Amino acid sequence: MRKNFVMMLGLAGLLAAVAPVWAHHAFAAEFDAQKPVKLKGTVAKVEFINPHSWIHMDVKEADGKVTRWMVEGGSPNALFRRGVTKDALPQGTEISVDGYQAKDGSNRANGRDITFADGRKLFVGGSNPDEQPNAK
Amino acid sequence: MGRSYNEFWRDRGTKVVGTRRTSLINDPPDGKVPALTLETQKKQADARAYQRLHPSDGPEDRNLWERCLSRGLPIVPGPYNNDFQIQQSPGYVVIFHEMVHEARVIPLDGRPHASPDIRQWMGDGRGHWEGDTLVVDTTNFSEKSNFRGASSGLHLVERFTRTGPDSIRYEFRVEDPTTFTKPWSAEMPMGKMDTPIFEYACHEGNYAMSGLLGGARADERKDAEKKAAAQSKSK
Repeated sequence: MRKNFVMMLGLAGLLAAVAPVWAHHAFAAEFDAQKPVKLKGTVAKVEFINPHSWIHMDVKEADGKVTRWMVEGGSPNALFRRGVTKDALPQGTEISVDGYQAKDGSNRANGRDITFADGRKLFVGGSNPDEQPNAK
Repeated sequence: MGRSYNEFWRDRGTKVVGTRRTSLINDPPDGKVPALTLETQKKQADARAYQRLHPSDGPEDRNLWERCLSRGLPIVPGPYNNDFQIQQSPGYVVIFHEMVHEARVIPLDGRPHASPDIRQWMGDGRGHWEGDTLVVDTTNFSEKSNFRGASSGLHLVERFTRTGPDSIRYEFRVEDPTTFTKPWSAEMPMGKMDTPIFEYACHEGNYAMSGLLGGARADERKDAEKKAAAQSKSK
């Protein structure tokens, strides 16, 4: 007898009551809530790796210089479940990202909303009314 | 940090349990984790005081998840990757956790627990069947493990019961008189998923660690600059 059962833990409505350590890492230790960034550029590479995906993008500065940024996002399985595969962000896709810059000043950001050139958003905001797009 | 993480990050559940209860904990009935022992409260206060002074001197100051070491037990849902693969073969059950790539190989042959000298992040689990319920009894946790303050004294009993073709009820009971003033239990449903487990190459993807340490160094520089500015003002 051989059984193989892949399970997902249901968390609906129960999460708030528990989960003291809720993310892989702490936002405030890595990113600066005082440094919101809006990055406009093209996708260079997407890494679907656990625990977090990383979108590498080339951002054109005002002076024409191109800078490579790394944007951190959700876990691969969480994205796949919403239909986001590698094909969703092929190399060269124009996107803009709202996020928060790394505290150490490096070109890394915690990603939030990803918007395509035609205005479509890849991720809608959370159900938390607090979660408004960045002011900047 | 409500504004920092949105749906790009979270993998929410899709169903609400029938009873609409708002806590995973079903014993005690108030749904709250019982009070911690004084000894554990002091230990945690000391740890917090240390953390405030040394949030990220080195990787060792960060928690077990961030260091890719262990998610630990029992199974408690987080915001994403609550994915498990349960594999049964003659004499063993293997429970594989996507988060931190941990696998528990649990013998079902009734052998006793390993010597108390053997300590592991995921403890030493022994399984048996009670009717259709798989019961896993786990002791021998490492003193470096940490479940809400419990570590080497933790005695965990988990129960997995098939409730339908696509569902399992997962229950656990926590006993550790050195940590909690009384034992407590929780239960939650698990549902079948269609996608396979994704590999967890934690260090490969853990840009976060350099980000955390870099962030701490940036904080230190800022503090030093503030202090220097304050000193030059007072001169």
